Amino acid sequence: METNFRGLIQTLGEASVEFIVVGGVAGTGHGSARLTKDLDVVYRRTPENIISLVNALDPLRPYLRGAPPGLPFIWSNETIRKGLNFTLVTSLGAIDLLGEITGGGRFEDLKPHSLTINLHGIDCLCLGLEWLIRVKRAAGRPKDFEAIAELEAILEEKAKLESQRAKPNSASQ
Amino acid sequence: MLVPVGQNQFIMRIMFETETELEPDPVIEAYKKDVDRTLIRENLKLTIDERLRNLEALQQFAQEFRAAVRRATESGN
Repeated sequence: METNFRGLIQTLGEASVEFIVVGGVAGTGHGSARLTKDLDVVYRRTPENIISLVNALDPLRPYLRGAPPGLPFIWSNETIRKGLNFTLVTSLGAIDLLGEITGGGRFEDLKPHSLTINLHGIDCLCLGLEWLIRVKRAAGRPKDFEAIAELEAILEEKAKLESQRAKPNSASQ
Repeated sequence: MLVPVGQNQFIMRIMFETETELEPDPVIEAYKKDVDRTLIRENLKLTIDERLRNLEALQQFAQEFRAAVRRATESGN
């Protein structure tokens, strides 16, 4: 099934869940042309936020992605508290809920390196490009090499654009 | 705290990676040669919302295309 990325982000945002978009969708936000299938978010692991997260996703019937049907998986505050990272499928598609990521840490560690984006009136945090590269590098997975190369190329292209924009100003000074 | 030299070097490496500018990685630099920058330049002209819409459309197309290939394979074409 396809993932409704904007629908999932909107669901979390409208419920005031504290989260940061990371992974492939964050890459898309920064300009990546690569296809990704799931939404990866780092969520804040405070008791209040876990309650908001569970309530927000409950109507979407979250279930363990790839697991056979009928497993005794209970979507609850306790389940989230006892675990850390969850790979889920919902009625809006695939979502990975990450309490912590390699090379980046937790929500509190990543927040200073994130930017606020607005999607249809909903503000949400997206991991900044440099930190997205750092965490993908830290993960050290060969499958990410092409993605990292593209993200670094985006960083270079953005720097070029900024440099071009700055030129008229410097010429007039 | 005193730690073995090897471990200390590892810790210094982590600090360097997270607190300073990204150092070029020769493996990534090799991959970078094959990146299609024309796609990146086009994407950078779009808003974030437009980029996400394109991703969803691409995902939908990929699924439809895969299904079409599967049907064709199964029918022996």
